[in-house]
Amino acid sequence: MSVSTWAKVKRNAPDSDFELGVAGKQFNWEIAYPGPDGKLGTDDDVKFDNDLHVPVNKVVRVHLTARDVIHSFYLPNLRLRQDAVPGRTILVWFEATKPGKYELPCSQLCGFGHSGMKGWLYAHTPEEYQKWAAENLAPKPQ
Amino acid sequence: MSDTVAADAAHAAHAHHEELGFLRTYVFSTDHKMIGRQFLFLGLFMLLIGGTLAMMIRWELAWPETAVPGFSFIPEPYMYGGIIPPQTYNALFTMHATIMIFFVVMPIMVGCFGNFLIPLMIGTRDMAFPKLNMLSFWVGAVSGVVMLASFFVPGGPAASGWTAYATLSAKAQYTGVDWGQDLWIISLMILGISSLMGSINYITTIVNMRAPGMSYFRMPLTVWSLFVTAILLLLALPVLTAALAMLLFDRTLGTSFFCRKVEESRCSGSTCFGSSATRRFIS
Repeated sequence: MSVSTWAKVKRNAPDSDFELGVAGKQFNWEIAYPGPDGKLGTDDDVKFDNDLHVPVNKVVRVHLTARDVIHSFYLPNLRLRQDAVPGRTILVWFEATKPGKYELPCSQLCGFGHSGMKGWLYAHTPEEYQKWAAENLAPKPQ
Repeated sequence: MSDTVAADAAHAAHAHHEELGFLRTYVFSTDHKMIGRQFLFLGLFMLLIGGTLAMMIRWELAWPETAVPGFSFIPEPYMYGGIIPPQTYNALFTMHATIMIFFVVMPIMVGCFGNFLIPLMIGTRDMAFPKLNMLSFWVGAVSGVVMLASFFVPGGPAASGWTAYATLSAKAQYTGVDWGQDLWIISLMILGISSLMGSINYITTIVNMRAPGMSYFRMPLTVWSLFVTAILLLLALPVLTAALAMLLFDRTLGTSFFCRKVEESRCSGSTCFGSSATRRFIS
């Protein structure tokens, strides 16, 4: 019963066209948005440290990993916590329903800077998100 | 008549009873009650240290970045005039938890109560292997000395939490702790040997030396709980010791049982055992 429940929770993320990469590293969250090719994990990914911007009422699929030691991706306001493990990519998802700025701390001891490893989730209204994306995710002219 | 003969024999035996000296009575004793007391006092001594560390942690949580009274003598960079920096805080709660679990709870709950109570409750004179019992205590005490020694090495004691999750604990650069973590691992490996000797003794005593008529179902629940604990320790300790050995090899020999990447400079090709399998696994 526990196996099937676990699979139901962990293996059945809802579909979404909003995908992000998050990598924990001592002592930052590295947030990656798909670049102009629309694919994650390529050279044109747009990366930020610690600031995660998403629209509300949208399922966000996060491909979570770690660069060095085990970290833990923790969004207490959204009741989401998942370890980020070096060498593995783990899919987690969330859907923010209320615009705001929420804490994104690391919740696994990861070294002497662990207590300061904190990012922020910015949940925008769709209009605000479009504005932010246009300013920050659009390809820069060469 | 027969009572008189028996009393005389007992008196004669007592008269020839060899008086043990101080060392054999209080230090290198093979008597289960004395070993039980030794475990108790080892646990209480370590409780003072682990408790002090707990107080320091609580002080930092209650009054962050203020000097802990009485600790201004600790040199930089471990403390700054009594103020606890983050690295030292991690070391404090790592060592607090390690000491409390392995050197307070286990010696008192298992070592002390087990040694003191098992022979009394099952009706035997002593444990099955008294010398092994003595060895178990002293190996445990050596383990405690090694753990405490880690406070005095450059870099300070282990700071990767009492669970020592790899890869945080597997490479010195991730925590900034070098020898301290190595001594932590070595200490727990030695303690594992101590606990293993204790477990073998408990199980053998309970299985073979119960008084006539004391079936397993008449055995006190206290003894049952210690019996089950000993069996669980016997099953868990080899695995724990093997994991500790692999962690130590990762740190000192450049193996990659837990590390994500094989560092080619330190560990190349088939000369480093374990590396090729790990490389396939992570790729």
